[in-house]
Amino acid sequence: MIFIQIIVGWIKRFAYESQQLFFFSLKMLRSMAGRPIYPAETFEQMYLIGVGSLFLIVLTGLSAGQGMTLQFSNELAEFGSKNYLGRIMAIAILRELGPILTGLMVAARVAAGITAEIGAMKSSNQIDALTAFGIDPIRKLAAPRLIGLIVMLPVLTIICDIIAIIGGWIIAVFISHITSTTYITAVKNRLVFGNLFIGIVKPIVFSFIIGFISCYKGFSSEGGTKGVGRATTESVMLSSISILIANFIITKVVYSFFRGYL
Amino acid sequence: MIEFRDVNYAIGDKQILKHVSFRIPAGEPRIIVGHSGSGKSTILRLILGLACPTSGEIIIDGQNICGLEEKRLREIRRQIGMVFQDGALFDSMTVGENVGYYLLEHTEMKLDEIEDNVRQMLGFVGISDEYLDRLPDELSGGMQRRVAIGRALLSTNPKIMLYDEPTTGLDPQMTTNIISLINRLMEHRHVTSIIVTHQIADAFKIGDRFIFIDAGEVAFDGDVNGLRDSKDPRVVEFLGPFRKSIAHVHKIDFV
Repeated sequence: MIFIQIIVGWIKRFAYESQQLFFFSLKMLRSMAGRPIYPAETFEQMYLIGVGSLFLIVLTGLSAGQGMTLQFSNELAEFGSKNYLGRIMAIAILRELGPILTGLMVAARVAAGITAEIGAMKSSNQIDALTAFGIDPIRKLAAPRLIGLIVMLPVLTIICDIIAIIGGWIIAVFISHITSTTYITAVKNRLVFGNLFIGIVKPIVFSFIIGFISCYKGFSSEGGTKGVGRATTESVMLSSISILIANFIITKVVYSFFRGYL
Repeated sequence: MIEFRDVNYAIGDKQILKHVSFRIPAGEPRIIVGHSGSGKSTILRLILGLACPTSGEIIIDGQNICGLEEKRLREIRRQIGMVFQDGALFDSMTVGENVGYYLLEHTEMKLDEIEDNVRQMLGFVGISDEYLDRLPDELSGGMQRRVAIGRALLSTNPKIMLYDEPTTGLDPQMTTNIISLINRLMEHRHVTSIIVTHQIADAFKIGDRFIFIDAGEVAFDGDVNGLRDSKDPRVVEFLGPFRKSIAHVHKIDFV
């Protein structure tokens, strides 16, 4: 009986949180449309998200590209199909690994930062102070961060894709002894509209997920510094899980309806 | 004028305010006293429209602010200056940016004009120019509180000033400075002022009209003599040793 009560309690809390997140997300979208706009804050966020995450993304892309190429080249060698290495790398990175690794890395780094910053402002009454001055705190704090994510996450994903493919090229040419032309030609063959499209749509969706969840968790944090810490952890967890679920849904939808373009 | 009419406020199952009613005429000060956690600060949040009462009406200048749309609320907030507990200064901005923030956001003033206004205001609250480019973290608690008062005054040229525990955590000298600043503002600008505090000794130095809140209820509303003579056990317990000395406390004039 107690077990059922706990489950019901979880479901109720999940439903309530989902509803609150939904309404908060609508407020954020509305705040992006109206005036005043905050260009200085928006560019600052673009810099913090983009430039701040660059090193991490380059390292992730390089590591993933090299590791995958090493694994695939050994397997493909058994079937005498090493020439397909570039083709497989392009598909795996453009469609899946590039967006998802970038999304998860940015979720870990940026979502935590956004939630902690907004949560700290809330616990020290700074958000109430903004409201008292007749300033919409969602427009002032959340909208620039969301715009920063929408602009920079696709850019970071493209950089991750390029670095991963370059990392793969280094392994393919110098360790697996595939000619550079073979690898590059195979990669080029898979740079088709469908693969590029899916590789851009995913980070845009992920940026909304990270922006909505991290800002919501910051604004709804309660309980002082301990509450901010808890909200930050939940923000990263929820963003990461949502990204993984969204990634699967997008892949499934694309395969169901746009297979001819891939 | 500010009027509360049978205001109730709850968060979840917890009742914060119960049937709170009072009236504060325009230009008058009112000190709201009570134990920590009695619901005093909630009254200020309700006046600012940062929270909505569960039931009842909050009338500001003849208009019930409960349920007003955000745009109209923002217009009302522009008549109100709020000094939050601990100042609530924007910690990523300098002292000058904090004080001039409202002018930067809501007016077409040029930067040098804003800076002139900021310098004047900082002078008014007793902060020298050398602190203009400092961050709030680099200031003492009392200085932060004075910057917060300056920010509230410059921001809205308010008709109503709300102070949430303005002297809590300050040393005696700084407390005297803040109280004298509040008294000076009340005398020179004639703004309706509500000061929330649990520091009973400080309360008597600011004004002589009190509302005592106990466990979310108005236990007393009246002048200093009524407070002193009250037989309500909640008031007697709260005043404790200060009860006998009330007659000897005088308002502090700004020096």
